[in-house]
Amino acid sequence: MPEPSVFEELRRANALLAREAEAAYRDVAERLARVPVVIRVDDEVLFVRASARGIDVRRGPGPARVEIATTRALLADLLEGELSVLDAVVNGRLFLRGSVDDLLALERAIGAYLHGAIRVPRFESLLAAFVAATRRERLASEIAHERPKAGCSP
Amino acid sequence: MIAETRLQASLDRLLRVRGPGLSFDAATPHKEWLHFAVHGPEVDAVVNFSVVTRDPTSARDRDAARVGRLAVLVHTDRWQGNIERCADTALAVRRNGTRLVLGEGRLELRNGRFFLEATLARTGLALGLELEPITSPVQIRDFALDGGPPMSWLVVPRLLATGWVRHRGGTVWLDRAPAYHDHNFGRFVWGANFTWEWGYALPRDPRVPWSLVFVRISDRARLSDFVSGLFVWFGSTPERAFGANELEIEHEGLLRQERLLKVPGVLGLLSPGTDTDVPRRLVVRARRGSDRVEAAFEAHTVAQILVPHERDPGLTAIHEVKGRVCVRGAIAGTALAFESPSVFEFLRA
Repeated sequence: MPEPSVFEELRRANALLAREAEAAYRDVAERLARVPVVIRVDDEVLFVRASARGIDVRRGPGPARVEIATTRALLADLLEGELSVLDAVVNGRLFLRGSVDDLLALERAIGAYLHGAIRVPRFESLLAAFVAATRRERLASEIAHERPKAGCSP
Repeated sequence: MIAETRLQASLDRLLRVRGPGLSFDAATPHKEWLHFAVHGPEVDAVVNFSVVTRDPTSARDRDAARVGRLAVLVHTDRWQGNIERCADTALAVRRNGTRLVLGEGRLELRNGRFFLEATLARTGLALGLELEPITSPVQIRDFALDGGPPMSWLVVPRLLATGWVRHRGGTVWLDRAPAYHDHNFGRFVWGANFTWEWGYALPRDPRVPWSLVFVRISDRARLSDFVSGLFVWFGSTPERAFGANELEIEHEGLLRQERLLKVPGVLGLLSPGTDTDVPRRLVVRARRGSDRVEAAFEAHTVAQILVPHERDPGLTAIHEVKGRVCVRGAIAGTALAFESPSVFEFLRA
């Protein structure tokens, strides 16, 4: 599993949002309270649910109303503006399952999260570190796949 | 020689980074940015150095008291670019404001010239330019955005840029290419009730003596203007300043494109889609007595810089729009007739 994991990144981000953008954090928690989510990112599975106490992230699946499946590479591309959420869904790089109402509620929660996060200066370095780590993984993977294997002959 | 040295030193003082100074409105952050646009034969580039200084109101704010940002947009056959935040520790204003360091960006004023270096490692963009002003600066002091505290604006519409621009497709060398510079400083809040439209015309042919700058700062609905003007230089000298009651400004059509670069990318998630209300054509007509100038800007392509509002959850979109300006008219009996590359800016809040 790549380090740091999405689980750790998300918990760190949530703690930062709670500490430095408390109103946004409470808004997100309120919006997420009725939409528990399972997120599958590469080999990781996370269960996210919220209550008046805050946003809770655990490893493993749970009783979700919405499921998201994607990759770290896609998350980095979205954060860098390389493509839109709509493009990602249409291209099959982002899988979403849930009722329309629940998906819209999740979209509003993510919007509230981002509006809070972009106003916290420390988020910029958190996002930059995540994107840089993901790009390094991609590069390493590409190099590994290009390297000729010893002993192979045409 | 002594007179020239004094003139250059005086220019360095005028063009330098100002800093926040003392203010009775310390609750409003001080903002200062130095903006450059360069037009090479195969490349157009926009570079913006900005510094926001806020008076810390809590321990939490302390590390965000001063934030530098470096924005670089380059257009070849498409837009490339980004905006990067620079930590306070990598931000320095030195030599009485004539040297600014923002992480991998450096801007120095020396002998009346700008020396600019900017690198955005993640996008593969870098520039190294020497910019020589060939028109005198004009400074507009103490105008207010939405009745707020005063802002100041300084513009050098025509410079010659020599150096290089590196992008993902290669490196372009520039030799005395036309360039533009403006410098804004003062206290205002992103998301307040203002918008602006801003542009310039500077001919590639050095024999053409004219250059001009258009500015219009309006309320959010663009129903009333706070400031508007068309400033015309002849050679190095400011020749005419047409005021609001001497201008007619007309928008035609809407610019549309399939893809729209938005920086920083993460803000694009909050502002999806490619529609903007940037006009396909903007025409400014100025008239005073027998003097008349018409500047018609044809928009070709746009990139968007997004800025979070400071006191509400909205976003301001600054559209950098590459196009051409066609200028016609006459001032004091001398004809103006030239075309110019340009990057107009349309800010919508």
